[in-house]
Amino acid sequence: MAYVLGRSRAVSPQRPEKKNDRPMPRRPLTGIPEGLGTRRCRAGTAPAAPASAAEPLTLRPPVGRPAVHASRTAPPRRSCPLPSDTGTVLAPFHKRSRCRFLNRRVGGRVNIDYSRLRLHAALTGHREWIGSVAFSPDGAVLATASGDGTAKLWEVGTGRLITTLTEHRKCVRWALFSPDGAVLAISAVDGTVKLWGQGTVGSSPLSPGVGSGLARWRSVLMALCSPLQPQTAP
Amino acid sequence: MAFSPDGAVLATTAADGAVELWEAETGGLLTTLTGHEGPVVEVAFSPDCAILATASHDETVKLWEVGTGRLITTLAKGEEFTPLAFSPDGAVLVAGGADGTVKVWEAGTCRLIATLTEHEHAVCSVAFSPDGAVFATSSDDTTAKVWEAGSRRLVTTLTGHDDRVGSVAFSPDGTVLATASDDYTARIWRIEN
Repeated sequence: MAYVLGRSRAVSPQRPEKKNDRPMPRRPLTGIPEGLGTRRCRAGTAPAAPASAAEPLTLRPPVGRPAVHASRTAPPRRSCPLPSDTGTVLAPFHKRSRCRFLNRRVGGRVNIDYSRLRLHAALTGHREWIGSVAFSPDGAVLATASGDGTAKLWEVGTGRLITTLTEHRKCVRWALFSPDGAVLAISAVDGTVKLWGQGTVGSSPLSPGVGSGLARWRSVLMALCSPLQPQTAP
Repeated sequence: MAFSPDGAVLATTAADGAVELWEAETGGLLTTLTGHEGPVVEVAFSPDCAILATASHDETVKLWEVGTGRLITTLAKGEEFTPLAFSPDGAVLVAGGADGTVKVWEAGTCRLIATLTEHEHAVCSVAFSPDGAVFATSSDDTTAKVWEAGSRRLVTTLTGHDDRVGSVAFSPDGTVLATASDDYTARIWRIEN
């Protein structure tokens, strides 16, 4: 992905004879994550993920929708290399709704005077770089994901730290709320995604390197969007 | 990789520059987009899911028709871009450059409509406000900037971080911005009266 693609010499084992495969056979989706996992990040000298965690999952909100969470590039100085270059984006799995392409005039009316933006709170407490920020759908909570291996939740109104989620042992790359706000998904560079339900202390670690790739991916996606399954660990 | 906004298509990238589109429902390969000569570092679907924008280490940004896999055009040549973002209405594509420039293209005509050069170092992140009226960029130069999408006028520069600002996000109502930095802090910015 954006951040870490190295000009890598790594060869993706999933794509042996791409040029000759015409017409392209329909291959199972399960082949992809492993391929992604073979690449190296620019910042890191070695893949951070263990060999068994072949499918680093990272979560990001759907591209192109009103974003509460932005795409980004790799920090130049990482104490913890990222395992996957492109494995950046897992958007919540929405029901098939037809998006509408509204080719309106560029830029709507500016209703908010952004020139009056002022620093409201500096959130201190992380002991490493912060890689991503994401608002809860109601805008009341901000999640930060850090290289110190934790994600933190903050009250937007006051800047107060609500809680620190410390289950991950490696750098935490993304923290993302499900659209209904019921689930917080945290992905780390060790290739795991953990889903947190509100009001629960435990986590449901998903080990994407194990089991059927597609099933895993989809279960994560579905869990992210389903208000009824705040803690899915298939 | 990225899911299309409707969740139907998954785009993945490979080290050789190819981008593959998969049917999310079945896992079947829909098409392979070949044309990039280096690894693709960012993909972004347009809100209507019809267009995929890709940025590559081969220093190009390309637009593809999702339905057919056809290359529509190559937007940038000889400049490396990483963050890409379509406006919520799909009208424009914003890309942040490794040299600090921000370019804005009209998605419909593929015409470059603005080159913004206020950032001094690489742009790390681009995010549109929910209503699409403004977009924010964050940069290695320790600042984040807010731009009016219509006029591409610089609205404000958020300073205070001591290191690279890797991520910027708008709150759902658009009145709060959050920035994340390598200085170990995140900051909340609000509209003050």
